[in-house]
Amino acid sequence: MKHLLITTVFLMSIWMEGQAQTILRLIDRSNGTPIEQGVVYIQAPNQKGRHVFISDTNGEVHLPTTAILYIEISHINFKPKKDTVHQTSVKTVYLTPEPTTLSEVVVVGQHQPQSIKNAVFNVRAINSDRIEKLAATDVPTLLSQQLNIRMSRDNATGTSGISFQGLSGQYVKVLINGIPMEGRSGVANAIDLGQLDVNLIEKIEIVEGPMSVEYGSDALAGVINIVTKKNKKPFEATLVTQTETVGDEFDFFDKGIHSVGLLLGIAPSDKISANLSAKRYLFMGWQGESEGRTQDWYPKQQSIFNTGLQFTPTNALSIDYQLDWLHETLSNHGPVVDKNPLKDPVAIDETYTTRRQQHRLQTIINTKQIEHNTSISFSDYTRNTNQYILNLVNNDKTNTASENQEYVQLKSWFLRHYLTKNMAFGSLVIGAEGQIDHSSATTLSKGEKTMESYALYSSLEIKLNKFKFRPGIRMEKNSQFSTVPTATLNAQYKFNEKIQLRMGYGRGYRTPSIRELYHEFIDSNHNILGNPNLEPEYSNNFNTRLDYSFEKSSTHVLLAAYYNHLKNKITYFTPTAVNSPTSYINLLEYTTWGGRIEATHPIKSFKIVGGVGLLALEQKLNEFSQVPDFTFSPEINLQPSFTFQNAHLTLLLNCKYTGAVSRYQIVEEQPELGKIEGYFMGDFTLNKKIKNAITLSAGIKNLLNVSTINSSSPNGPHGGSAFSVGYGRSYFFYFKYNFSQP
Amino acid sequence: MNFKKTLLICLMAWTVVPLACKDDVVLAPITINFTNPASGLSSSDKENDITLTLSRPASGNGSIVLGLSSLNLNYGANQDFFTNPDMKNDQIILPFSEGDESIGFTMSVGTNLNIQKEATVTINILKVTENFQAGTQNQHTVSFSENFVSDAGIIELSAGGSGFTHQAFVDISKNNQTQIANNAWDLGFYSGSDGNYITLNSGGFVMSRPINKTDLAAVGATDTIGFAAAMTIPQYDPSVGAAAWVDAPNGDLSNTAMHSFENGQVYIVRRVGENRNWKKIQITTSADGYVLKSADISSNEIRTVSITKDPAYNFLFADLDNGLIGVEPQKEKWDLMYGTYTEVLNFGGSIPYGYKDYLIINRYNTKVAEVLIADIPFQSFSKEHLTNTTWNNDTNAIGSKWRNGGGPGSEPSLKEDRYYVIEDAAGLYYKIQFTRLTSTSGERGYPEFKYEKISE
Repeated sequence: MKHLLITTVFLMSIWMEGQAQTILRLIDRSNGTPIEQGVVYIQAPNQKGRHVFISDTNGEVHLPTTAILYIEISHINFKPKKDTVHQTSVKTVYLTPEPTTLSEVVVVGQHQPQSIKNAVFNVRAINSDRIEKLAATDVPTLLSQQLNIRMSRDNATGTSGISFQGLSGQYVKVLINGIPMEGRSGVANAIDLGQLDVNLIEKIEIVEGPMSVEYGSDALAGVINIVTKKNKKPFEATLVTQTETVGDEFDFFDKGIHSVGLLLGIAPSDKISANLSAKRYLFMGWQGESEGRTQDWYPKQQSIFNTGLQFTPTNALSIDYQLDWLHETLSNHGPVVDKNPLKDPVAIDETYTTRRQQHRLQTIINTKQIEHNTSISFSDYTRNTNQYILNLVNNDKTNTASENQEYVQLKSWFLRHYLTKNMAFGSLVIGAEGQIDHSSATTLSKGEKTMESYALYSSLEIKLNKFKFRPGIRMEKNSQFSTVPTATLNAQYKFNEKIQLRMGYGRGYRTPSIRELYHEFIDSNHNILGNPNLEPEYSNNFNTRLDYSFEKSSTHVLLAAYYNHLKNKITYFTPTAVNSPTSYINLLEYTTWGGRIEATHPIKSFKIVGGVGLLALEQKLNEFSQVPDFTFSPEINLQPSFTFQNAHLTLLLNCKYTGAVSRYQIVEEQPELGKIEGYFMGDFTLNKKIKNAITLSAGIKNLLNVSTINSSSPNGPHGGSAFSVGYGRSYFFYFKYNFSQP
Repeated sequence: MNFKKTLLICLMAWTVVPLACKDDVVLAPITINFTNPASGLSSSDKENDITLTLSRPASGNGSIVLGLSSLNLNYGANQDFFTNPDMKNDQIILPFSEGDESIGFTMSVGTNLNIQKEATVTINILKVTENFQAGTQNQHTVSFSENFVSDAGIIELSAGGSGFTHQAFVDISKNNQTQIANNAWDLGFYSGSDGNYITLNSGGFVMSRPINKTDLAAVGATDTIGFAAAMTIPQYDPSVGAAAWVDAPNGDLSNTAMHSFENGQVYIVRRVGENRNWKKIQITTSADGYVLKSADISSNEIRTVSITKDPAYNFLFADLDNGLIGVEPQKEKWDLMYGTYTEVLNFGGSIPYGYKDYLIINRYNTKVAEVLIADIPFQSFSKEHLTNTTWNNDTNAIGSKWRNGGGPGSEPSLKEDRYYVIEDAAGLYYKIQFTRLTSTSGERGYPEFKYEKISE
């Protein structure tokens, strides 16, 4: 407001003198494109006042004078620059980009939003520009391209799982705008990241290392925060459609991937804005090696809906309400049963239906010294398994026996209030959090289960010249188990603008899942019961990261390493006493360590991002047998891109090699090594923009046509052999149309 | 400009249109057929259920009119044959209700029938309600004969549902099935003249463990400490040695749990089911059979049962609470037994493990061969193929090989790629192919197979 006023006065005074102008043109040194939203401070000689201008879409700033001026230019993505303007009519200023991996602003776990470069944690981000360029249809695909992150697919349930620093999805906390996403389910006890709408994502923030002080249970390997798009324009409409083959299977109606998304936003004033988005996604399945009606990858149908309302009556208050709604159906088609000529051919099919909704209300109140941040959220998650007989003559459906119809329901209330106080030496956050979960399921013992947890936490960020320290502590009271205080300490040392070093220690924990506490599975050959006396799992994590940026070339190199030691890990246990059920027990220990080296190197229009990662695992499998040693698994990724500026065309190659993974399993009381082979995934994308309104992408996914890889898992009653990682080479076409009223 | 816009709109339409829903309501009449083309009535089988199968559950109420014709047979309970419901004017009207999947009536032998006349009754579908139609198998012939042989048909096995409460014995050539409760018996006594053997009710998960005592009265609870934990099915720990306390699953009589009963040892018998206590037993042989002594473990109320061999049967059977009991039909009158069974698995050592949906063949004269459809299609298999067939006469030659086992997240399923050829107890050859693993409503314990006689 203040700047605007000054600028107006300044403009008016110049206007009186005449219409002579100086045009400043801001250009990106790396690729020659104009820079929008550059902040230009100008100051006339012998004058005290400074005035601010913002560059337009052509990168231009019209200075209403031809007098000599000092200028200072800053932009979040570029290195700051100072210069002088001498009575010229047009002046071009070249700016050197900051390495993009460092300039991204992150919010997760931060006292204030800040760039990755200044964040005390080891953070990385995937922004909407990259999501669009890759034409990703889901989050798992995006994450699988990152080092230290591996995605897997459960063939039996068709859901996606994540492994982060060698730890499975149950140790990763997933947040949407900082509020936990609920609905962990299944044996994996993980959030299904395939159930998010990519079109709505502004940015995915990934923090490596425990964030248990800020986010409590499950934030042990790390945190994934989904930041959603917020509309600021008076009116904006975006249509996104995508068509894709599934391997070599494609058909207008019955095969392939068909997806359409619509986003609408209005902001009648700068105090109020509303947004609405809807997406329909059809994955028609992949037959693969299966025959007849059966499919290796189950068809999936998703309808995702989001709506929100933001109200900012004053600078000191903002209110944000969001509703997410999802309906997903996976269909498992059984083989045709038609051997009896007297009966109609039938098939036994199963559908897995997930319904998920979450209401989130976030309020920020800014007093002079303190910012209050309150979040309330309610989520309702259900997953139903419906088994039915489909008559293939008249498409009649009849449910099979009631024991084949299953459900899981989880209702969760979440409340968090924290305040941030800025002080001379840094900032302080104090927060309180409460969560109440109600759940019931056919696989649990009878009755509704309730779990309550309340926590107090605090963290202090201290700046001392080039040092930044951040100690934190959390105390939690849980209705089911006792917990001990959780502490973290993170530090950053900024040698200079080029080199930063981070080191951190964190303690993480995971409270036992409802399933582990109350599971009930009894039939003729199984007798599994949950254990209500379980205790939380704990971990100690050490991590470090070194960043180096080359001044001129915008080249950036980072080295990161981590060590996780997990204790009290929950596992199945069968006592030797008479007819005792198998249950769960805190028994195992698990160690992972690893690291990555990553480099970004732009050469004019050509940019290459590449890295190497390493994962090491050590398991203590039971009290008697310690497995011999660590097993290692390497990773390599390479993401070269080339941009034709004039044609607004980008070519992008995106490759990752995931090395073989070996894991020990107990077979006949002896550890035995099982191995999953390594594989290569590569995508090629061609991306073209037409007049900022239209984006077209086309390309090839899974260039090397990978589908199943071999796995030698030790023999057991349910030992497996092949492991499905992809469905072969496929082709896609992506179309986006954006209309906005500025 | 316009061309570009049109092109873009076309592209959008192309990507959006597939999301529209499709209409998939189909109307087709329900077909009604006789379940089997023929059946037989004889002096030992005096009553017969004759059923019709609907191609899917009835969409509404209705009825079917059957016409019966016979030469030289008179209707009535005191005559040659009669039916329920009653035949009137040579017709039977069978009503059915919405949801019915089969309709049936019974035909019985009258008191005045002379079975030697070898007469037949032919039944035809005359009329069905609208929206239903008669299928191609619209005729059924009932033979009044001691020598009836079924040429083809369909049999739905029944183990009493997903609880697997029963064992079913099937005589394919008579299209006949009988059941007995799983836990109705404990021991089988070999009835052949070529040896003395004891078998366990493996379908009822009975186990028998020898103890080193020969005086039944001297055995008490102190001799059985730890037995409850060890004698289980499944028993995942191979070091317990539980596999020795069950019979060899292939029916090898020299390798039963009680193969050395003649040494006079006392055995502890583990029984399953309500009010079925564990027992201590001791068996000796007699001139024409066996003598079984049994009691509750801590009791000395010893019960003695004498068993005399009968060559008409493979085994004679005993229930340790009630003495002798009929279980298997006569050895020439059954081919397959269906239900649960005790298998022995290699789990890094042998362990006993309970199976559902298990099939046993009659040890008397019966053998089977598994044929892959890829090698010889079901319809093509004829007597020429019999000579090149690999036969197996283990009692568990079919066992669980006809289906895939389930696991976490996957249901058991039928193996669609194979069928079986069986030489039955009467020396006839049949090919049999499973058509379902579960009932039409998905319940386990009701699989179905079709069979065809291989003519020689």
